[in-house]
Amino acid sequence: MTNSKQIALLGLIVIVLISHGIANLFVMELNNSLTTLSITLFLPGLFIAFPSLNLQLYPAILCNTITGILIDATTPIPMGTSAFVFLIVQLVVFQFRSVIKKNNLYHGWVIAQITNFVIFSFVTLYFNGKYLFEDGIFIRTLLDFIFSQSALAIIAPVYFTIIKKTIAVLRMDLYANELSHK
Amino acid sequence: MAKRPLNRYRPFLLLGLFIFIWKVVPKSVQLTLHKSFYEFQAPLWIGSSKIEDLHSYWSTRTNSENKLIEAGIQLSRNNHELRIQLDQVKLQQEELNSLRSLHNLSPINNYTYETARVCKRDLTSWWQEITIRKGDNHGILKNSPVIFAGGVVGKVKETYETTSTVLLITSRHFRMAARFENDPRPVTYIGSINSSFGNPKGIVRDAPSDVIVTQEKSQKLVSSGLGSIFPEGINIGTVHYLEPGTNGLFKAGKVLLDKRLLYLKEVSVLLPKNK
Amino acid sequence: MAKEKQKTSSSPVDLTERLKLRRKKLIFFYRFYPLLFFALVIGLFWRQVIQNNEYRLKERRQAMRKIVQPGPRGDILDRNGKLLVGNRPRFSAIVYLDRLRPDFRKEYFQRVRNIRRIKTDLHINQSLKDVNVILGQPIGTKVGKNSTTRLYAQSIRVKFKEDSVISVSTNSDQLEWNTRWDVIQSYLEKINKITGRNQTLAMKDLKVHFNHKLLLPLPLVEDLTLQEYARLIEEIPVESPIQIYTDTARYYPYSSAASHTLGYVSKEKEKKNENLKTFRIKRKEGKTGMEKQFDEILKGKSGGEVWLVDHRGFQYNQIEKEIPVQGRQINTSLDIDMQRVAEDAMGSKIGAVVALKVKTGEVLVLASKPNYDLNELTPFIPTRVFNRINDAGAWLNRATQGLYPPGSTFKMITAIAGLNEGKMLPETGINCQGKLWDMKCWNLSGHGIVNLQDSLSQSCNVYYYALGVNTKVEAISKTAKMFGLNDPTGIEIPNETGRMIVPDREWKESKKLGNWRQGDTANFSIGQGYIRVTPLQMACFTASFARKETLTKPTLLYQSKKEIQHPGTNLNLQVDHYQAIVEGMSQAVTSGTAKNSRIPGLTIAAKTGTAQVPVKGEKLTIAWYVGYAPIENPEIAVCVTIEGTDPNDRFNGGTTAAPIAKVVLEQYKERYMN
Repeated sequence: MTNSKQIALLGLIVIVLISHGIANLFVMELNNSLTTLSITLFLPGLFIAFPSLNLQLYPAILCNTITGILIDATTPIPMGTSAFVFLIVQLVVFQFRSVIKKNNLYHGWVIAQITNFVIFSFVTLYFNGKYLFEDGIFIRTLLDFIFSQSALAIIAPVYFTIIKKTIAVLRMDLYANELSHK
Repeated sequence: MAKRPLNRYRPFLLLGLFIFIWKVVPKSVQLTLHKSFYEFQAPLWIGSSKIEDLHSYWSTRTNSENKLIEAGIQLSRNNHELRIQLDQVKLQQEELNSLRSLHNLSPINNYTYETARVCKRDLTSWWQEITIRKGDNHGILKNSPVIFAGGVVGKVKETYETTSTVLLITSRHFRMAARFENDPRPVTYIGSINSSFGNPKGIVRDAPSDVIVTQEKSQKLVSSGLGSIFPEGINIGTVHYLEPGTNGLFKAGKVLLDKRLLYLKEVSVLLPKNK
Repeated sequence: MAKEKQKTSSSPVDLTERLKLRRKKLIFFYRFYPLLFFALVIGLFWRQVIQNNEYRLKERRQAMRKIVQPGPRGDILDRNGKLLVGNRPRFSAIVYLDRLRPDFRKEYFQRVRNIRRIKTDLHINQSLKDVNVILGQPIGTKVGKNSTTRLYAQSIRVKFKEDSVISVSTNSDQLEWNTRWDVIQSYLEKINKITGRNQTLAMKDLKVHFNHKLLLPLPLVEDLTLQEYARLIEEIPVESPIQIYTDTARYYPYSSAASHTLGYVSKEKEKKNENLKTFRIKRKEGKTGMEKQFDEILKGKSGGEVWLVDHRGFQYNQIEKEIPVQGRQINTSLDIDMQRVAEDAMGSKIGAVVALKVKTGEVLVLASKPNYDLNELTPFIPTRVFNRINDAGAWLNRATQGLYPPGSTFKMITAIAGLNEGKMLPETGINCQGKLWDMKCWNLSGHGIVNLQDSLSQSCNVYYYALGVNTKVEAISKTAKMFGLNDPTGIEIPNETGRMIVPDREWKESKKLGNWRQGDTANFSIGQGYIRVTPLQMACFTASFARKETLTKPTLLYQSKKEIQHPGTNLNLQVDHYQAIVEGMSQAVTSGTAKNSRIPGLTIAAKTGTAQVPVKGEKLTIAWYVGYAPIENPEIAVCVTIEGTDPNDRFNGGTTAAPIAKVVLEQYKERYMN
């Protein structure tokens, strides 16, 4: 890989990570406001679909690991758990990349939904597994899940489009170095 | 051709490598990584919170002069009233301290207050925490009690350079020794997840069977001061009913907490004077 | 062979015959097989259907365990609803061993790895010195015929022959126990750090718990102080295997007040139990007093859990749960304020005070001194406390178990006997010159001519010597027995004495004390000599006399009815005779020996007494007071008994017992008559 390609790749990673950071902040602010209603949006799926689908293996792994650790660092989830789950999802998506259309927003949307569901379930079982049916926890979890998936359904396509547009505006080619791996 | 299967298994190998590294890496390194990633993001939350403060500042500035003058007058009245009350409190405090010293008891007010703005509220069904804009640099200590106008907020769970996370009173992992307002016997308070669109709540356990609480005759639950964290008499919430607990020996019931816990903007961290 | 085979196979007749032959051979099986099958079916039916319950029970026994949690005991209240005995929470820090299994496992494998590593440094023929350098000094040595086995702290067993290693092995059993102990001790250290204690778990206790009480919580620190409890609650994470276990201990808000009457509890004795292997959290059972008497009512209903357990006996699934139910409460007839006033009035004196409601027999006060702080006896009696109470002689409930000669308080009975026998009239006078025969009156200069009223108010002994001898022992004894002085009162507390004595000729002879003499009668007539009664009996006699009846059934239970039917009969005594006795008792209060109990606005009929008992060659005095009030409509009967402990004690019914009775009567007047 030439130096210019490497720089372009690094640029892509930085753009994706910055986008994730801003999106994370946005979700945080949204949650800050929703606390009055005791509703929480949990949207890790938002951060995994784009790099897994659009980036090469190594950049995608790097993006997902960093995003995962960023999430782990700010939540009581045991350190490395999100990064681990992100890598597993990345692995699964990578296996089906030949049948998934990168340009199709719907595919990314579905992956985000599925990933979100998986991580949501994992965290729920980890933290509330024993108490799920106690004292209204199930209803609260269910409502949080419904709201999270609905919010993701709305935000994900917009978010993916914004990243793509940003990359385009910065005159970067998302799939430029893909040919070299084929 | 030989490269293709390797390509296919590369993600698995990488995942395996990640797990291996994560297992091998010492805990201290993991903790450092955790702290660094946290500290890396903290300025974002602080910035976002400061923008919010700025927003409320500018929205206040848009008020008409008359309205501001009116508010100023009201504030001055309130201040005046509070000044009188403060003087009374000071006198009572002095009297109390002299009485306590007569009985060789330690003075009651052993805390200083550190007021902090809330920059992040994580009130999920899995964990209940807030992040405040003060940390190690401001002398915040782990396990310090955190309170607000409505009573107990929680205790400091973790401190960072400029921020701290607070385990909320509504967290299932939060437990403290409490008592009913007019009863010295200690009971156990445990947090409970608040339902969607509902008020924050907790659970009281180990209440003696002769404690009577009904919907009409509710009782206030306050901190017992017997433990090592919370001083005595800080409001926790109100208990509206008690029923026989699961062991049949004591009563248990729900504690209704202050609704403002859901949208806390500012809290006070109590710091021991001697530290 | 081949030909023959061909032949046989080619002949159909032969084949049929052979088949028939084979069938004949098989016929045994054809018939026997169904029989066997039938037997099998029957057997199956027997096992599956008939013995179903037995096998089900066996399966339950093998795979299920029951935990019994006793219900909290009921409260005991006084007649005004004040709590006399309740429950206080008792906090302990505990661990459930099944929650520590991952820790045990992790630590065990860690140690096994360590041992493996250490074992690589040990080899055959290594010297003892070298082994000790690697493993340290052995913790145990077992000398065999040809070899010596040394046990090391790392749970390694090394066999030596003449100080050379011949084999190295792991002591798995020791390793397991050490691992368990270390894991639990590490949790205990956390508790020690928070509470500032310095407790260690005894290996013996761990083994006993592990082998016999696996499903029950293992107590690490029991009876935490409130501060320790609060600190642990706040500092130990909610999800930690250390939990704060809360059960109840008896709580006595009035500490030592009515301690003998209320009684105390202790852990019940081990019980052999039912069909399932049961782990029982021992309940508290009443040992003395009302706690014992009403144990069935107070004890509550036990609850419990049934758990499925794995092959090692650890619980993994709860099948049943029943919540324990608190025992019922008891409303006693006691008035705790009066009780405390009475006990305070007694001060450090030894004795008893009994106050009864005349009409219902309800016991308002049942005090015995010295007493003890009931809170010190729960949850168990420390040896130090036991010895202190024992040395003070405080275990004895003097009101129901203390036997004393009643002294002059018995004179009413002698008077009733004399009047009933027609041996005298109330107005008959007897000249007291300070002594009769060689028996002295307490007033050595004599009372002069005294009639019945005077004899009671002045407590003249000479009058009763003469009256007693005239009336004869049989009549006096009969009258005393009529008032129930020869029988326990039947009050609802255990261990009321049954050894009271109302002597007569037969009794003395049966005890091989010689013939009954005139002096015995004289002594008996003033409540001295062989007679022994309890303060409660004298209180009951006073109440019966006040009601003009013969018996009072005292009760410690609050009665909602204003009057109840007592056993016994109406007092067979002429009205003027009865009135004369009452008058005498009244005069005793207004101007006689009981004047120290006079209360303005309250008419009291009372009699004091000062008896003497020989103890170890010395004479000790017993001060008595019995009385009731108001005279017109009797409501309360009081008996005070104070023991002298030293021959120099100048105890006297009028100066020692009467002031105590006065306090009790005053309190009653204030609380119930105004």
